Amino acid sequence: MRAWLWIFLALFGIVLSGVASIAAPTASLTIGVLAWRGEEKARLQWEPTRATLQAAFPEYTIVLRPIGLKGMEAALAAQELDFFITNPGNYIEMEQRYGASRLVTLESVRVGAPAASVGAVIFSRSDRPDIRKLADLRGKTLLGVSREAFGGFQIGWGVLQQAGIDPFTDMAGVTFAGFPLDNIVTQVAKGRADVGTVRACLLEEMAQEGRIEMDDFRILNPQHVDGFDCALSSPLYPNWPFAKARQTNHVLAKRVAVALLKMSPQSKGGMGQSWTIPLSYQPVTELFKSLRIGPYTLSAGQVFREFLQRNKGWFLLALALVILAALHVWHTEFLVVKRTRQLKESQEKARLRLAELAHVSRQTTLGEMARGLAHEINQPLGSISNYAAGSVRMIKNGVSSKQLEEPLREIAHQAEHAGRVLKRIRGFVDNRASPRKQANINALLTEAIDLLGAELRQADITVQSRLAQDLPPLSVDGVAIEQVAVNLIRNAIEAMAQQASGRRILNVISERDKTRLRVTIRDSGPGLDADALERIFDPFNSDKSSGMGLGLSISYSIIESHGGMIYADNNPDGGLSISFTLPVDQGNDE
Amino acid sequence: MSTTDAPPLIHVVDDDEGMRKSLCWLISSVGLECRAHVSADAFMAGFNDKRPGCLLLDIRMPGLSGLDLQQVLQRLDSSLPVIFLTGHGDVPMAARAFKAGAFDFLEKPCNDQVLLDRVQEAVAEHRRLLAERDQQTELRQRINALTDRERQVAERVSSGMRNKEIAADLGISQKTVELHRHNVMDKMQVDSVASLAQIWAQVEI
Repeated sequence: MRAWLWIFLALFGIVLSGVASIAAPTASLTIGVLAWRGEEKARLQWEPTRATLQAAFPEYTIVLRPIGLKGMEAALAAQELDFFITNPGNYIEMEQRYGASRLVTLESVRVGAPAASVGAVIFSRSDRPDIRKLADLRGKTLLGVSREAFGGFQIGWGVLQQAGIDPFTDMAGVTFAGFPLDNIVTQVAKGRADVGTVRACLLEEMAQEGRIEMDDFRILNPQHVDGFDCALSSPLYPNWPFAKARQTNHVLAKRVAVALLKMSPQSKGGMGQSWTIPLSYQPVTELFKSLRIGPYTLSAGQVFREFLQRNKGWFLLALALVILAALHVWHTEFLVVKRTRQLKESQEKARLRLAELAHVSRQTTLGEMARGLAHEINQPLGSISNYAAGSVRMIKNGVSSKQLEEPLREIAHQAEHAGRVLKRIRGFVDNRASPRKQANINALLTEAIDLLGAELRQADITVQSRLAQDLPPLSVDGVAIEQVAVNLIRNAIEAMAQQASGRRILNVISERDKTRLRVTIRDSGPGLDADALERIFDPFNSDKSSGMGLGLSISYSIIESHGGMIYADNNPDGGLSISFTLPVDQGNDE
Repeated sequence: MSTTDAPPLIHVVDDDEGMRKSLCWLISSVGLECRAHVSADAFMAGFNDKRPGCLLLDIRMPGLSGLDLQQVLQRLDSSLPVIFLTGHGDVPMAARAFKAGAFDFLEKPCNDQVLLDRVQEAVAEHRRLLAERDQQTELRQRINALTDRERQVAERVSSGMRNKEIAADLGISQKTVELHRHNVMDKMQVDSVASLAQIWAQVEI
C-alpha cells in the first residue's frame, strides 16, 4: 500500500517537472490588470502599456490578465502575477497583505493636462437652494459608482466622513449606479438623486464633449490645488500604480520601471498613457483607515474596541452611571436591611416596653388585689391550722388514728388549694415577656375568674360564664391575655359596687366570630355616659379610688399588639360590656 | 323549762367550706358540739336561742354579711354571744361589731387555744345570761301571782316603810297590812325584807 503511494508520488513529481520544463522556454511576464469596466475594456485600456513593455522585453511574452478585485488578491496569493495594475485602494491592500510594491504611478491626460493625481467632486444641481454645503447633505440621497470605486465613491465618502457625515446612516440613502460614471452625472441632472460623486475632471470632460453644462451643477466643498484645473471637492490622491509582486525579481522590476517612465502621452503607441515616478500612497492608506475599508476593515472585536475608544467619554459616563446605580442599589439594599432591622428592633423594643408596662401593671393589680388574695390564702392556712390543732387535742385525748384520717386528708387538700392560689399569683406576675404560645382562651378566662374568686365572693357577685366549647387554640401571650381578662373583670366588680346585693351579675362570654374570637365581660352596673365611654381606654382616666387607671389602657395595648380590637358599650338592659377580639391562627403557628 | 344546763352548741357560719369544717373539727376536738352553716340565712333557719353556746361568724360573706346577721340577732333580743372571725384586720368593722355587742373579734388564722378559750368563755357567758333570764322570768311570774293590794304592800315594804306608815298610806288597818305582808313573803318565797327589796330592785316593774 505504502509502496504504491510512493510510486504514485514519484510519477506525479515527474509529470510536474515535465510541465515546468515545457513552460520555461516561453518566459512570459504576466501583468494583472483590474478589470473595473470588464475584461475587454481592461485589455484595451492597458494595451499601450503592454505594447511598450513587449517592445522593451522581446525575450518575454507580455501577458495582460484582466482580473476582478477578488481575483487580484487570489492571483497574488498564488504568485501567478509578476506585475499588476490596480486602483490605489486595492494597491495598498495588496501592499499590506502580499508585500507588493509600486514601481510607477499613472499619469492621466485629462482636459489636456496630465496628472498623476485623482480627486473627486461632489455635486448637485445648481438649482437646489437647499444644498449649498456638505452639512446640507444630511437626509439627502447620494449616487456613486460602487462601494469599491476609488475615485467614483471612496474619495467622496472620505470627504463626507471628514465633514462628520456618514452617508450610510446620516443620509437618506446611497445608491450605486455602476459604470459608466456618466450615468451618475445624468441621473443627478435628471433629479433622480440629490447629489452625486464622481472622480474629478469627469464633469469637465463631459462638458467638453458638449453633453452637459458646467453651470447646471454646483460643486460642493470646492477645493483648489495648484496645477489641478478640474473642479474638486476632495484632496488629491495618487493615481493608479503599476506594481510588482513580492516574488518578482528586483532587477527585472527596475528595468520595467525605466521602460514605463520612458512612455509619454505623445510617444508612439502610448495613446496618451504615461507613467511617472511613484507617488506616496500614504494618503490612500489614511483614507482607507478613516473609512475602515480595504485592509482596515475591522473585525467585530475591533469595531467594538474602536467604538469604545471613540465613545470613551460616553462609556466612562455610562460606566460611572452603572457603578452609581449599583452603589445606589447596594445602598438601598443596605438601608432596607438596616431599616428592617431597626424596625424589628424598635418593634421588639415596643413589645418589651409593653410587656414591662404590663408586668408593672400586673404587680399593681396584684397589689390592689392583695386583700382578696390574702383572704384566698388565709382560708386554707386557717383551715389547716384548725385541723392540725384539733387533731393534736384529739390525740391527747387518746382517739384512734382512724378518726384522724379525715382531718389529715383535709389538711392535704387545703394545702394544695393554697398552693394553687400561690401558683396562680406567681403565674400572673412572674412572666415579663412570655413568648406567644398556643393557649385556650377559655382556660385563660377561667384562670382569671379563679384569681379574682375572693374578690368576686366578697363583692357578692354572681359569675355567669358562657364559654363556647369549639374554640380553636390561639397563639398568644397567655399571661397578658389573662391580665386583660382580670382587668376587665375587676373593672366590672368596681362598676357594680353600688348595685344592690343580689343584683350584681357578671357575664363572661367567649364565642367565635368568623376569623376572630370574641370575649365579652358584661356587668350589671350603671353603665357609662357617652363621655366616659369615649375615654374609657385612655390612660390615667380613672374615677376609681384605687389604682392608677392604667388597667384598661394597658389592656387596649395588649389586645392591639395581638392584632385584635377592644371596645366598650352600654348594654341595652343596663350595665357595661367590654369586648375584645383576637384573630384566629389560619392554621400556621407563628 | 330552763336549758341552762344543757350541753352547749357552737355555731359556725362561714361561706368557705374548708374554714367552716375545720373550725367545727377543732371545736369538737374539745368535746363541744358544733354545727356549721354555709350562710347567715342557713343559720337563721334553725335558730334557737334557748341552748347555751356561741356563734363563730365570718364577717364577710355573700348575701347577708356577718354584721347584718348580728343586727338581726339583736332585733330578736338574742343573748347568743357572737365571736367575729375575719381574714383581715379591719378596724372600722371591728369597732362596729363591738359597738353592736360582739363578744370578740378574732383574726383568722388565730391560735387554736385562744379561739377555744374564747369559745368556752362565750359559752359560760351565754349560760350566765340564760340563767339570769330564767331567774328574771321566774321572779316576774311570782310578782304576777300577787294581788294588787299585795303588790302595793310589797312595793312599800321594799322601799323601807313601816307597817303603821303603810296602813296610813293605803287607808287600811295595820292588821290587814300584816296579813298582806305575810302573803307577799310567802308568794315571793323570801324570808327577809332585805331579800324582797333585792328582787324588787332586780325586776324592773
